[in-house]
Amino acid sequence: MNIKSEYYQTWEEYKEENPIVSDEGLKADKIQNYEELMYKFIFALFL
Amino acid sequence: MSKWDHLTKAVGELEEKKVMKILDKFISTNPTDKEVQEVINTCHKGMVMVGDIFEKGDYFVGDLIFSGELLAEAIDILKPALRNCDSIKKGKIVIGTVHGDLHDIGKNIFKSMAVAAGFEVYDIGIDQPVSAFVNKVKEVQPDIVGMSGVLTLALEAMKDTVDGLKEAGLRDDVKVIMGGNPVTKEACKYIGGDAYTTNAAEGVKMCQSWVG
Amino acid sequence: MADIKQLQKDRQQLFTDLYEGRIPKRVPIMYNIGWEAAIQLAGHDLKQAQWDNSIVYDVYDKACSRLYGDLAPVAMTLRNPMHYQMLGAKAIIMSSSGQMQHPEIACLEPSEYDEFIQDPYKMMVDKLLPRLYKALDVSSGQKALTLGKAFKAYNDENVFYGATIGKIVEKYGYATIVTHGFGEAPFDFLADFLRSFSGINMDVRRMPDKVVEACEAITPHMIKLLVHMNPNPSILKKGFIPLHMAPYLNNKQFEKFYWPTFKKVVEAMVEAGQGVDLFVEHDWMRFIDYLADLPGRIRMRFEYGDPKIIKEKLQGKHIISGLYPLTLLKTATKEECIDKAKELIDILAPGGGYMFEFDKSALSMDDVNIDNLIAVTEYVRDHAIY
Repeated sequence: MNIKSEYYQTWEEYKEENPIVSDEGLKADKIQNYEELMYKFIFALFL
Repeated sequence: MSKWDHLTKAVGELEEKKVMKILDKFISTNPTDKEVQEVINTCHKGMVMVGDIFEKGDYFVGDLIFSGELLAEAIDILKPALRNCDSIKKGKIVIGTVHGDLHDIGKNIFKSMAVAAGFEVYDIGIDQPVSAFVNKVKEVQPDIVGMSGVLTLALEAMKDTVDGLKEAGLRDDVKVIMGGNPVTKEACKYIGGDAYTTNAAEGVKMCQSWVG
Repeated sequence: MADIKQLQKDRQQLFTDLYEGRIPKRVPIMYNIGWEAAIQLAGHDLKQAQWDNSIVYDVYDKACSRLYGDLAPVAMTLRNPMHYQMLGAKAIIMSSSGQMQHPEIACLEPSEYDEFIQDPYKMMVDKLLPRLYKALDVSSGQKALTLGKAFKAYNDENVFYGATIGKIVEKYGYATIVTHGFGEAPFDFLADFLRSFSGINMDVRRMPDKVVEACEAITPHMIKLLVHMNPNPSILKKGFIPLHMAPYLNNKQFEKFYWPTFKKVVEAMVEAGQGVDLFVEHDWMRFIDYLADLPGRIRMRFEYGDPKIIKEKLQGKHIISGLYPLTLLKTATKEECIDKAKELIDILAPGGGYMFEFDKSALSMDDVNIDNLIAVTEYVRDHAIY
């Protein structure tokens, strides 16, 4: 079950909208992890 | 068999729409104070029914919360129709959540049921220090003091409160009842209260037995 | 040093055996005192100490040198006031005694269910956060700055506490159970901060279809928090769910509103191989058959209930803990406290699937007599086998 929200993007969704400076050495997981951390923080404020 | 039995039943069965329909119709007849008071008493009877069903185990806390809201809505419709607000009260109760604790759902349920049973209730709110209890007791001279708390730390705060009443020379003039999740027989003894309960309806019955 | 390492290995094995369905060497002891109680035990002022992470090591050290546990017997702070202060929290506040608590507050209006159902996360960020957190009820620029600061503070504090606890774990040779995720039953999530306990009890009668839809909208988010948030789910890790509202509901309401989406969340966790840890708060005896029906091997800490019935319904499948009344440690003699432990172990331990835990955690050292607490835990350590 995946979540869908205007305010949350998977890496694929993000790539579609944002120019990637360079594919070489880009750490997609690391960048996407900040999206996840922020999501977790917002939910923590309601738990 | 009274003409308001259907209202008692509707309140007791938590039929919100039915209750509101009956009351709206009643208000539109421009009733006398005596008639309004009779209907208020009927709503109270309905609350007693709720308490009985809860004690039997067929209603649960969510139902009690809803009943409190239903009663408040009913009173909101009926009170403005009263020209003179005199009614004889069974007794006075000062209640509050003790210091350190911010919870109040149980206290509010007890309050609705006590008001329904004809008590005059002074609710001093949540996280109340010993001095707030003492001052209110001095001011209104209640028959009963009710202490509420949900967290285990409330037990020590309840003891402080009872000790505070003793120090102020007020303890012997009141009955003390405590309510909330952590309250047990041993805790009641430790705290120095007269009674304890985790069941609001039972608590109101205890209060009724004290005022006779 | 070698002894501590071996002690840690032995303790870890207790939990591994238990969670994987074997009978451990002895009954593992899983309990902790609350962060606030530990601060008090260490002799610090509760209102000051929660702001000052330089005392964390000292607080843990003082408690751990006195109390026995197979895991660190001190809970990590659940409500660090730092970010709550920065956000102007209305839903989590410090009481007069210094105890962080959650007074009743609702941020979602009954008329707003449709908007919430449409995109819960968006509405939480845009509309609901500012209602619960005053410092976010400002211009979008200010809101972004404040959220940024609070996010950094939250993460910094967590990292610091985590690192400090790591040192304590190594010093005392505790086992660890990594927390993989934290979430709630969708109905509880709707009740706790959004509609409030009172509000949700009105809604189940006044707008039942909306409540069902809202729970369904929340479900994928709870699954994400409990399964997908961190890599490598494992039965040896903790996916924690405290259960709140069910005892407030009648059986029909439970079946319609609470159970279906909660079950979906648990099923997703079990399917992903993630350990499920339920804190079954208050009294779930009315619903014990439902709990028994849940898949997997779930850890269930009971606050209240009949130990014999719980054992009968869950044995061989789920893991039972809890049921020992914490407040007994305050009011009873040492012998009575140990007798109570014996009584519970005799009922719950045979055949396995049990660990020792109190029914709740002490929030203040005034909740317990520390000598009784130590006596009971040491008794369990020294005598409790299956």
